[in-house]
Amino acid sequence: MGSTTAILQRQGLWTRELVDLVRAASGGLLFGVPLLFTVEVMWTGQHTSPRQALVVLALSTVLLMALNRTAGFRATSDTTLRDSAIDAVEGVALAIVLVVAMLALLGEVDLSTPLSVILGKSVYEVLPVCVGIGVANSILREQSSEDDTAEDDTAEDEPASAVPAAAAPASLNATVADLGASLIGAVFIALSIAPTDEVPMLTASRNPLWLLAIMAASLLSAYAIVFVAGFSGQSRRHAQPGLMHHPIIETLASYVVALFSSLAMLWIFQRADAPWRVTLAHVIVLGLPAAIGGAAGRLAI
Amino acid sequence: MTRQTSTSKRAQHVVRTRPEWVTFGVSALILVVVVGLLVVRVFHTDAAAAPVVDRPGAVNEVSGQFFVPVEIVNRGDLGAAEVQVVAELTIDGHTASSDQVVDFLGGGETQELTFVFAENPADGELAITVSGFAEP
Repeated sequence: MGSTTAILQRQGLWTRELVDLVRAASGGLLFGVPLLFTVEVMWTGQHTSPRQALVVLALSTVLLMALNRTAGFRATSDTTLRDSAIDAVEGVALAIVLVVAMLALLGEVDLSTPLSVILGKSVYEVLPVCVGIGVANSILREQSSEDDTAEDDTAEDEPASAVPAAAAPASLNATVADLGASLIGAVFIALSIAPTDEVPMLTASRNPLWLLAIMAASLLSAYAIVFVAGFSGQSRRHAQPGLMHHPIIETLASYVVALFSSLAMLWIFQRADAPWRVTLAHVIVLGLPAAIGGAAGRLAI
Repeated sequence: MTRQTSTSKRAQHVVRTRPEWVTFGVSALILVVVVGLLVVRVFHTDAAAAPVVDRPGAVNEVSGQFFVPVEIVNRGDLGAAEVQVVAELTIDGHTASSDQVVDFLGGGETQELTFVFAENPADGELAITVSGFAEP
């Protein structure tokens, strides 16, 4: 019995660590994704000297140390310089992994890419991702623990499945508000990317499997930001009474909103007049930042 | 319990747990590798940018047009900007030329290009060269 309890406690610690890392990755993506779609940032890194790249990495670490003292990405606050430094090392390493993974997803690096090119393309992208990781705890609207608890209690008292018929209009309003928030968040993040040449550049010569991978990453990122990262408002999202109150349904519905908003943004900037297969690929690629923005939007309402 | 999930009133980080130390160990390893690679590059003299035509691919005919794929490789360590690539097809003394510009080519990086000709390159002599580039 005692060993079972110990195993459960160990699993709890690993889960909490995973949630902290997902929160860090979510904050990093929210802050860093627009620059991940800016090829000039990659080019700058590629013709930067190794000395300057080391300085950029050192700056990222120091910046993250400072941010860890006030916000950080962990659920607990760092009280000592040592803890801030340890978390900064973890944050920078996570930013490097995240950036390389995103560059691989966007087709900018692969197994044949020289290591120096991977380092060059990553180094300047790491900086904004580190800022996002450092402010992960305060990146969205603050909410006190008492509020969260109260809302959790409300959710337990009135499960969404037991919403009375009279509450249907409220439920519909909540759904409309969710979709609206997804739309606003998607436009907020993706509008500055839609008119650039990066979308067609990154999409060129990609096969359908790659597009499916982008879609999967978009859904996974949006789900993690809203339902795993533990941002303020997460418990509220779980208790949301709208028509799409299930996390998976909400994530899928919001992704559809992100895709349609991406199409609209491309159309507005006259970039949706290519053959439908090309336009679809552009929509799916732009849908990645749009889905991440939409997730942040739903947490912010 | 050392943690709570609230963002505004967070518990203080008192004791680092085993999963946190594992994360730190892996993170430190990643950083040591990245910093080590950069330090090695500091003491390594970078070869100047040298973009060259690597290999023309198989010619593909579509609607009477001949598509010639080619790879441009930067064999240097430093990046090259505005890499100008010129293709000249000479058939019976008549030369048709085409040129393209690669915006940026990092050290060791490869870029695929395709030139299009109205006549079959197999009927004449095709020369594809890098005519110049700029320092980024």
